[in-house]
Amino acid sequence: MTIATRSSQISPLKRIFNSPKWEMFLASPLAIASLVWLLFVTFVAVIGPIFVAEQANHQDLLLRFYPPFTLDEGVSYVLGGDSLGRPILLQLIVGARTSLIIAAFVVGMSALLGYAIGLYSGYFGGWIDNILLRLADILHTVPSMLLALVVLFVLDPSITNLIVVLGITRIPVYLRTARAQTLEVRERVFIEVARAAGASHWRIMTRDVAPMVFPTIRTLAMLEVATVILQAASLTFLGIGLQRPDVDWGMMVADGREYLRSAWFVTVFPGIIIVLTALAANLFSNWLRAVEDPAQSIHFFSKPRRQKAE
Amino acid sequence: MITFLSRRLTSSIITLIGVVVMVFFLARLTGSPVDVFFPEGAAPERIEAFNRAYGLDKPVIEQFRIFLWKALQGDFGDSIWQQRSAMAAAWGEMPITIVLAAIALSVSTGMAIILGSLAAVFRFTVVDRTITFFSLVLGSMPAFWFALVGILLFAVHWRLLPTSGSNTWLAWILPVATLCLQPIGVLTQVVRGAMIDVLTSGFVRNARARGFNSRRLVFRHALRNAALPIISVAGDIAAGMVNGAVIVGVVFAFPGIGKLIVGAMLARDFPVLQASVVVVGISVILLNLIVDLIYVLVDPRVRLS
Repeated sequence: MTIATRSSQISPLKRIFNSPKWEMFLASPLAIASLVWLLFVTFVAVIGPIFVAEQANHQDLLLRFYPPFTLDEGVSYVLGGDSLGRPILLQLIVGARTSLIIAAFVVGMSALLGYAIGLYSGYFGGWIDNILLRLADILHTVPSMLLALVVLFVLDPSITNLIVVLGITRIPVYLRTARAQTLEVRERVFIEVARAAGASHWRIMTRDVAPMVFPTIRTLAMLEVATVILQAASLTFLGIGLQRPDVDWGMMVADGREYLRSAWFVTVFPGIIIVLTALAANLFSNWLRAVEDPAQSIHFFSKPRRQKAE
Repeated sequence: MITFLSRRLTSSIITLIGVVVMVFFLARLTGSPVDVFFPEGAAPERIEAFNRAYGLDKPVIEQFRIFLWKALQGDFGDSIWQQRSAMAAAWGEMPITIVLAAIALSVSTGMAIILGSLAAVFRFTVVDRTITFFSLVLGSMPAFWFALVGILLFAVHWRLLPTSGSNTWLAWILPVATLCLQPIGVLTQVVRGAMIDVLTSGFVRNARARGFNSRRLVFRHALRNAALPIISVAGDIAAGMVNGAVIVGVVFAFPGIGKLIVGAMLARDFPVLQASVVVVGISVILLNLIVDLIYVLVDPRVRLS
């Protein structure tokens, strides 16, 4: 108890910079690079479209497939022009907002719902638990992209629909994990003590069980960011879920597909941005997982040395 | 063992019925096939006759009752576009997808075992870091983009491989590579983690102390123990191959269930769509049963408890 009160008196920023995690972070160039890239993309996605949204959709047929890496037409055409002469760089900036909004909301929604339902299902058990588990099984049996494909084909293309459908297909991932952990935590002695002290089910669930399950869900959600970015891009690439003037990176790849032979850059650049962003999310969550696992985190302090082959 | 199997079988059947129910309502949502099949302003009598022929004139609940009854007998009606039963169309496309998925699964498992074992043996060294980074890069690549860049480099630029088709073995290279992308990324990390667990365990240390040959130890004894986590994710990965099959069907026009599903969706061919999703569901359920069985056979501890 005393430790908890003392640490809460120090400002949260100071606590971060004094923690061993921060030192481990500084010791890992890949973690720094990936966090910097993620922050940069987020910054561009938030600020960028305010300034360039209009120019990004400006069509100039004289600049169709304008070749990249020249500054003759200004900075906006440095990555070339697409099939309607729109500047690819500015399209990427506008697309960043869509892609990140989808990723953030899908992960947030599925993690929150999966966490809450898993807690409830695992804590109370019974027939509701059975039904929920069976529903999760059914969702799991149909490959998630197939399901999203079939449902989104019917609905009007919109970012909201895309988020809701993708979000639903990702719920079982969290539901199973949260449920399994709750089942385990529920049997611990401190829960029994809380119950003996007269705490209500709601209180035990929210105050005692939920905080124990949370770290796993957080790690899982970090891992899911990259998966969701890739899945959302696959759907928009197939022409499902979004419609112009909305644009995301997957849609941009699809736009370039027909002109692959003559204008490679229309397809290649958006793909590179997807790879970099998904890779950064993967690298960062990988680092986070390693740091939170004491057995592995030791190695961030010891200098890399060649161990004898076993 | 018998109770374990029968319990698994019952839950599989319930899941399957759930998939069938879901598929019916999803397909009804996608709009009427009349929109696609008839031009605007077609004679109302012809549309009515069409609706009657395919049972689309009855109330939804009635349609559902008929559908469910027939589905339990394996009858999903006839394809609206092709002159054959929907089930035949779906099963007809399965073999080539299964072959493709099996090749991709073998290639990716083989690669992952080699890379993951190397990373585990040389853990926390440059070798490990390089392999981990490489596998993360593969796992972060969108399959559709990889496929397009593959076409750009190997088919357009170097003219080594065809852009589409499935007639020559050369045409299989890019589709298989596209399907391997995600699995190699995921499996390498699984193999690495499992191998590190085994290699740092007591029995390996004991064997090494007794002067056991290293390579034999890693590949015979350690790998066998690391097989369990690999098998347990193999089912999920094989199910994920369906997503890859859709991409491969669209980008390379590669035949199979993926191409059929996308085609049926665009043509509003309800029966084929329903039958395909059910066939995919059955395959995934069977696959999970097989994975469970292998798990029990490989690990005596599960069998005994």
